[in-house]
Amino acid sequence: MKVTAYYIITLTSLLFISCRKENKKEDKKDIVETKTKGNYISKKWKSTKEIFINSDSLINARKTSYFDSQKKKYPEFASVQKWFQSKPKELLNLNGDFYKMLKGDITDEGTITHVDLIKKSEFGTYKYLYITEDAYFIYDLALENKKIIYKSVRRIKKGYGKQPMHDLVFDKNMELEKEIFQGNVSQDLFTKNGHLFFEFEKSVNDDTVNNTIDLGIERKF
Amino acid sequence: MRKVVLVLLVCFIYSCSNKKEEKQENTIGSSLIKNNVVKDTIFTSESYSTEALQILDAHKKRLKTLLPQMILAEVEIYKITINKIEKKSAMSYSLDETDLLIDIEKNSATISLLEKEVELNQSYFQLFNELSLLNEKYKHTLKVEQFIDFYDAGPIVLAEEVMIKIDELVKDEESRTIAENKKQKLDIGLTFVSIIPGATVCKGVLGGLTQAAKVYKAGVALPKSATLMSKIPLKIMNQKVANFVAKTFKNDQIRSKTSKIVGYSANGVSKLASGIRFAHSYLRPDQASEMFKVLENKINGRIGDFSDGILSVHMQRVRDIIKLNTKLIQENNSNL
Repeated sequence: MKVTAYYIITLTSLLFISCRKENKKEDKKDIVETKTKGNYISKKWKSTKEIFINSDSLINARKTSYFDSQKKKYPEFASVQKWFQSKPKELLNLNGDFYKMLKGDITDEGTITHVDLIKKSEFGTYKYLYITEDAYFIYDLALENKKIIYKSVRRIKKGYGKQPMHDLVFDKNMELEKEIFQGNVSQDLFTKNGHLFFEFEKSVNDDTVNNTIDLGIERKF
Repeated sequence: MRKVVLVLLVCFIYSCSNKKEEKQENTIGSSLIKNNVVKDTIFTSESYSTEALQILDAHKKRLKTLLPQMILAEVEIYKITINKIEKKSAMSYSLDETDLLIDIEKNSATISLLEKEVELNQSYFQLFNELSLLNEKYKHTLKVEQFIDFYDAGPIVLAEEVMIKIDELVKDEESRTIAENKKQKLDIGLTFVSIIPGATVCKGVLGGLTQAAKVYKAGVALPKSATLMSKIPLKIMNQKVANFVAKTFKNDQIRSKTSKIVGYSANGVSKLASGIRFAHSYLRPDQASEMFKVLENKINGRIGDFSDGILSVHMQRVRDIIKLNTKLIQENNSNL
């Protein structure tokens, strides 16, 4: 009698366990950074930048520590920095700051897709945002034999409301050959919780697709 | 006690397992065939033509309700595809990525369009099958010649020209809604053919299917005709299309079986036939005719008009074959 009782208990419990869905709670808390909550500060315009009262030496110290940590974190960063500093033709003679794109959160019809941009993309490239006075550039760069090879660039104009987004195509002599229109998007650059974000948004009929890109820790120099 | 446990277990397992209902054989055609076919009918050219036209009329009614719904579905697929393609540039970071995403979108749109066409033709082939059965029935009236195969009429292909029309319909509809609601317009104005170039593939796939059916009917065994399958452009062939091919063959087997029965047994067919289930998910004929009426110059009315035009072309082809076959019987009779 006892044996059968054990028999029943073990069988039912086994069935129960096997039938139950695995509900492992994931510790990951991926929340899309939205502008509406938290300490949102727009960084879109240079004129609105805070005036630093820090001394030059302090700023320089911060600068080197920032770039050193970036180089440690991302293996391609040093080569990319060299590439940007060499002022290649692809930069179109424009001055600006470059940021490594870390993570993209794409919201479409309520569905959020998280894109890891730290690793190489499917095309074997890394993505960098280059911010100039009146436009944002997304550079697609590949690393081959410790050398940076330019793949493509997308330009999003800065401005109030919607601005055109273009894919730029260069000819053999690295002269601008074609600007492919990809629609009008509204754009913003902002800091939130110590991180810098770039965001662009496209509306199609009644829908909007929002793409928020994490650019890492805010620079204080 | 152990026996009780065992019984409980058996009960538990039995209740857990999915009860499989016996599925009736799903065949193309013969859904509208009458059971009361008299064996000793007189086989004249007149009776052939009236019987054929009866079958045609019955199917025409059904196709008339089905086709506009299919075209409306294609319009919807197209609209959704344009919207999705528009979004892709904001979901990626470079030209290559955007193009890749758009290609994937185009491909899936092509597949769903092809599925719609296959579904429509599955329904259309019911007509061919019933008329082919009629041919089998009247076979003995001909001495040397053979009846013209109804499969020669070919499938209904909604490719290219229809796609261009759909493109026009969608654009007109959009500008109409803009005028009505002052909605925001899409940035790019592409045409259907440029968005979904694979639409032309449908023609090849569907054409291949009719060919396969014909060759199989001519006596080629299924495993042997496997090479034929590879001839069909299988680029975008998926599970649904494969199922359809299997069904077509299966139905053909049934047909050749029935032809072996001397004097044509209608009972043999009606036992196997159960009609196609998917047709139930569409509107009833009266509802459909209501929906696709041309009262206002809105998209539904235009689709109704347009689909009638397509259908009349295909119906005329079938009518021509009926006429030619009737002529064959007449010639044979006069020779006697």
